Amino acid sequence: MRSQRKIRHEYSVSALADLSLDVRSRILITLLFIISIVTTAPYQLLMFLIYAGLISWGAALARISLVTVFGRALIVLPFSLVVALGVPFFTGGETVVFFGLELSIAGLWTLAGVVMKSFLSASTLVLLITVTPINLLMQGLRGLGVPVLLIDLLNLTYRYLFVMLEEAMTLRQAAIARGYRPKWLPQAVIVGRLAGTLFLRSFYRAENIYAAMRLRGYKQVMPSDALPKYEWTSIMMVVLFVFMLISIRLYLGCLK
Amino acid sequence: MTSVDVKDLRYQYHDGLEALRGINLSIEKDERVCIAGPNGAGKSTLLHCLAGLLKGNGQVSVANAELKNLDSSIFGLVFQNPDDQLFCPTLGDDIAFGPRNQKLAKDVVAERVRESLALVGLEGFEYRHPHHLSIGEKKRAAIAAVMACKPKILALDEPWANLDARASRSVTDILKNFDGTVIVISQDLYYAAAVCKRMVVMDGGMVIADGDMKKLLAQEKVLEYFVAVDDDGCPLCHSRTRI
Amino acid sequence: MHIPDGFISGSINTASAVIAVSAISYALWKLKKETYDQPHKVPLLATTAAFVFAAQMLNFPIGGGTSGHFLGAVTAAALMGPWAALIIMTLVLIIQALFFADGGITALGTNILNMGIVGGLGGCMLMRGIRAVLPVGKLGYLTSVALASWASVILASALCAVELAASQTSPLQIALPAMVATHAVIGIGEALIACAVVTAVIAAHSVILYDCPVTVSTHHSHSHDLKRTGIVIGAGMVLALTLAVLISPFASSYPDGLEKVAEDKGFIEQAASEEQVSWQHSLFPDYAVGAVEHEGISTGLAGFVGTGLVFVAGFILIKLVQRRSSVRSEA
Ligand SMILES: Nc1ncnc2c1ncn2[C@@H]1O[C@H](COP(=O)(O)OP(=O)(O)O)[C@@H](O)[C@H]1O
Ligand SMILES: [Mg+2]
Repeated sequence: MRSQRKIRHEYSVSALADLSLDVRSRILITLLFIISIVTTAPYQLLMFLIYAGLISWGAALARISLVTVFGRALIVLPFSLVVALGVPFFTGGETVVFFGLELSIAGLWTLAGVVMKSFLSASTLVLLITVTPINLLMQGLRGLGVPVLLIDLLNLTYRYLFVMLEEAMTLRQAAIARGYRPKWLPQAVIVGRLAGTLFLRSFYRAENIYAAMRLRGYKQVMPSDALPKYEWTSIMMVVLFVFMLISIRLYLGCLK
Repeated sequence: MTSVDVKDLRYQYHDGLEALRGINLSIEKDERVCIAGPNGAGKSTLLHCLAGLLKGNGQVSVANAELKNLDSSIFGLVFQNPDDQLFCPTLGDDIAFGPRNQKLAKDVVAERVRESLALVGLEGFEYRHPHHLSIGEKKRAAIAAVMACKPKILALDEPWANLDARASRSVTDILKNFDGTVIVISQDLYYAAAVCKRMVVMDGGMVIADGDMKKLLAQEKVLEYFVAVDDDGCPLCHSRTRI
Repeated sequence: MHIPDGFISGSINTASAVIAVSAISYALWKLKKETYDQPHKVPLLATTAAFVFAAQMLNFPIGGGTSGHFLGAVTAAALMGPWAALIIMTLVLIIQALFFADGGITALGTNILNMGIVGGLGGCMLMRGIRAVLPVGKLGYLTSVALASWASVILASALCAVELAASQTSPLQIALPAMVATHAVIGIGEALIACAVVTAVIAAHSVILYDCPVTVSTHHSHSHDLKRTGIVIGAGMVLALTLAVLISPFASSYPDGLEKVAEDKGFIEQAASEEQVSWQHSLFPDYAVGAVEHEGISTGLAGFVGTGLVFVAGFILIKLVQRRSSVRSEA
């Protein structure tokens, strides 16, 4: 059942990839959108609402549930809270008293700002990677001038990520099955032993991969098809999008 | 016409272990050969030498030519672990890897990809991530990736290991229909017998028997490699040796 | 330590992106040259990056019910060399940012600067510097790996705190001690893991190690070596804990600091209205809002860290020069 859903999901993604915007434009729009988010001042709440609205609109266009997009972006919150939760206590300026705590208003704005910005940026990215298959994304990055060697390395790393993760989890499970219950720091040595095994496996795997690549004619670079031409209509979409963002921010007086 | 000719091949690993100790072997074009023998006999090492991945001492000629550079259009090797062989993010890219390296035109590559996927029964799997496949699908995909290079000789290292009956049967069918020389390493004589007539038995880095599979298995000294014996000396059939 | 989008100011992100891009370009150029005679390096770097990623998922306890995780920059440097380590950390960080929304896109350069350049390249330099003063052998090698791993985590986290402060996201007085104290402990785990990995590799196949200084005989006196390594790691831990203890009163004195700030509020408001800066003061302890006691401690700490860094840097320089000249005189 689960695997079937996975299959269907993959197919819908690739079908969507055929239909819509050039992947280079998608990457550029995502990047510019995130830059716009992080350059918005924290108290411009209306602007953040508009960003959230635009992300939801994008998700609706791609027929992806908002729960997926915003849910997966929650991963950034722990960092925001750990790093910025203390800020209202330690910042000067005017204060408000809240449940007996004296909190700096400027500090509260900072906290709100980083939480909103990191969350919305992460949502934007989640939207991009949910609607764009990884091979297409890599093609787009290549088209935008990222060195081919780096792209090859990224592709290979991504391919073996899950294999290694699975092996790491199996190794840990085996340790747990034999009574490994980490309680204090020196037991990190056991994690180290697992990691050592894992590295040796990854090393020998690399030998095999290289042999397989060589047997099928590998010469320093991964072969790939030429990218489709970057149509000016796709470029125009990026320009239009930037124009839209700037006009909204100008209209709302949110462009410093 | 000989397809593979090996004369007095020796190979020593860095740690001094002599994995091949004078192999002599000759395989005809379009012949199907099974290489069997206990673990550590040197079967995989031999295949790597034939593929040109390892350079041993002795003569190795493949397709009537001294082996110099690797050529994917002559010798194709399918590894035991398909994860090592499927190294691209999508199956389509992976299968196209060989043909693209052969500098074929884009539409020819696309045709090869479709053809090989169809040959192993994986039509429409172009955009799948290799990690999401079952082990049987991975094995077949690895075979497709090698077949897309159209090699004249197809060598496979334990193609039936870890497969269930249905997946094993589809691998058997693929090998039966392959147009060219087939060399398989296998302990699964049941499946191997469906593909190969000839068997080469190796042990300790040497060929100890070579000939018609069924005749060889009638000999006691060969049979004992594949049959377990219980405490009373009564032969028990190795579960996978039924022919 | 993976900074998301929105925490770091645009100018810092831009500056670190420029640094990161130049360093990575150089590393890629070097790799490309190397692939002519060592083409297997491409899959090897990729599987090592996948290894680092997977190893980062293995948590270890750091006490108080919390856990830390491995960073891997110095381990990668010990296994593959400094520039390869930079590429490996870059691959890990890009994939974490792109596919797992862990670490921001606009902060990618900053994260690469902290964990790849300072953690990997800097950690590798530290490792070589430490190794140069220690006796040649497995013990010295493992000690250098352990200490450099520990220091690399602390340096990366300290830099992260400084960047947060300079971006006016989190005051330096909070961020720096909190980050350094936590990572002084996490760093011990990092050191233990790094040593275990390197030991496993030496035992299996020491040829793999990048510039492994020892023709390590794997059989003789193995347990003896391990015991001595244990003692050294123990000593390192004591050192680390002492440091952590030194830092923690500094960190825990913050509630008092808060009162102090409240008392001096008038002064802050004045300062804030005069200039558009509020936290930039915190970058410079001298302006530290009249908190005299903290000034003393933080100045002391800064002095301590600074002296240590200068010492190490000077030492590495001297050693490098020496090595150069000795190579030349041999040639
Ligand atoms: N990379 C290697 N380094 C050293 N020894 C090896 C290596 N690979 C295989 N061997 C050794 O060579 C012998 C033959 O191995 P192999 O050809 O894999 O056997 P088989 O495939 O028949 O099980 C074994 O004893 C094995 O331990
Ligand atoms: Mg084998």
